[in-house]
Amino acid sequence: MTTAYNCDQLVNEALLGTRDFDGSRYMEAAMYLLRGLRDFQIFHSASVKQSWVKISGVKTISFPDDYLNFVSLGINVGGKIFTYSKSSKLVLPSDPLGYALNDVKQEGDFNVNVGYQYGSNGYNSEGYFALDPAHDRIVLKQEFIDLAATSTRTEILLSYVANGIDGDLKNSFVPGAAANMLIAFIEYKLVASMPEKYPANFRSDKYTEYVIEAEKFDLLALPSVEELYDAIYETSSQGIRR
Amino acid sequence: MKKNILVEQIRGLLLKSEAVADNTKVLHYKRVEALVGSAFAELVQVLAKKEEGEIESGYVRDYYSQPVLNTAGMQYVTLPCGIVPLPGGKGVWYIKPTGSHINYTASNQIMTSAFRSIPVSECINDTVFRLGTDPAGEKAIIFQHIGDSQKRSIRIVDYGLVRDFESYNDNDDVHLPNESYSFLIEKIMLWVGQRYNDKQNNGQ
Repeated sequence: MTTAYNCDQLVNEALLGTRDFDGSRYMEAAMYLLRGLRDFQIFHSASVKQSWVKISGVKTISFPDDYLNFVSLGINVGGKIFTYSKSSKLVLPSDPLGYALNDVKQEGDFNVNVGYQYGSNGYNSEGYFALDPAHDRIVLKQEFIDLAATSTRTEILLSYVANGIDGDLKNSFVPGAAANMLIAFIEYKLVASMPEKYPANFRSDKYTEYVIEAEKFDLLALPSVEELYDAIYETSSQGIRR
Repeated sequence: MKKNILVEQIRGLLLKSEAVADNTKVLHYKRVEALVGSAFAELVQVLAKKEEGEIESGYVRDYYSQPVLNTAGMQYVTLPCGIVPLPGGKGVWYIKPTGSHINYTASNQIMTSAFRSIPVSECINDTVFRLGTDPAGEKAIIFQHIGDSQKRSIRIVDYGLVRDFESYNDNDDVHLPNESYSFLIEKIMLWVGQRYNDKQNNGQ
């Protein structure tokens, strides 16, 4: 017996829990599984997926198919991720031609760099990006990409919360510790969607079951005693007792 | 109980006498067989709701290594006999690839079409089946593939059918658990009523 459940098994076990032995509600249960997985990955699981994604000609990257929520974007520098900063001031290349024609150069009294005339020139070495979910992409700042150190780069490291689906349900796994919670969620949604078949107390029992399982899973995220000790040690220093 | 004995017994109860030339016009064997068939279908439907275990043990006939036909891009198995019209197409009790332990999932055209329009269909690579008609107009089990299903290439299947009464041979046993026999009699009596003897015509 494996410790991790594949998603197909979760769906089938939930169907058995609602006594649907012939699996006639399989696709409906799978739909609820996807909802449960989104909930699980965003609000209960701490896992983050990293993926190198291609930079397009207009300096954008597309969200991966399993993307749910953004964590960070960066490049690998000496084994550590150098992260870019989110900005809401970038020009989105929805009209690439206009973007190029309307780009204004700094000259004379028109200079956007803070402190240019009063001291050393402020220089932000960070890259910037903007999320553009309406077009299913992230827009990178043109100038940073053009810097010599990054100009040859064709891929960028995206860290994100993924939905956990890898290809199909049979090849997608969830941790065994989360299985009860997800099964309870699917069962609850299946019975809640058929009030004519399942009595009200059964439906509310299934909801309570899900809430309890979710609370139990969340308890796993509490820090261990050792981690609490470490936190205390790291934030305290020896001093002279007075 | 053998099918022909069951039909004759019920005919005898309705006639209150032996079936002879004078009275068989009204209650011909075939007519009584059809009546018992209708009551039998209702019996199976009631059992399917209340005692599902009885269906598989008493009413399902297994068919092994049956070929999957492929015509005009449609994959199907034509039913070899009639089935009881159980809700949700459960007259086809199960169907699975020969040698496999996992059954195909039952679906229907409307449901499959609806689910194909949402993302869940992109993470299911499987084959479902529905009841319909083959290109020749015969009742058939039709396969529908979702995504890149590995079952697309399967050519031999096993299945179990809940046969209708008409499909039973005269010498086939009819499974009548608990009070099913009374159920059949009561149903038919309710529909037809017992025939009064014609006293002026030798009691027949």
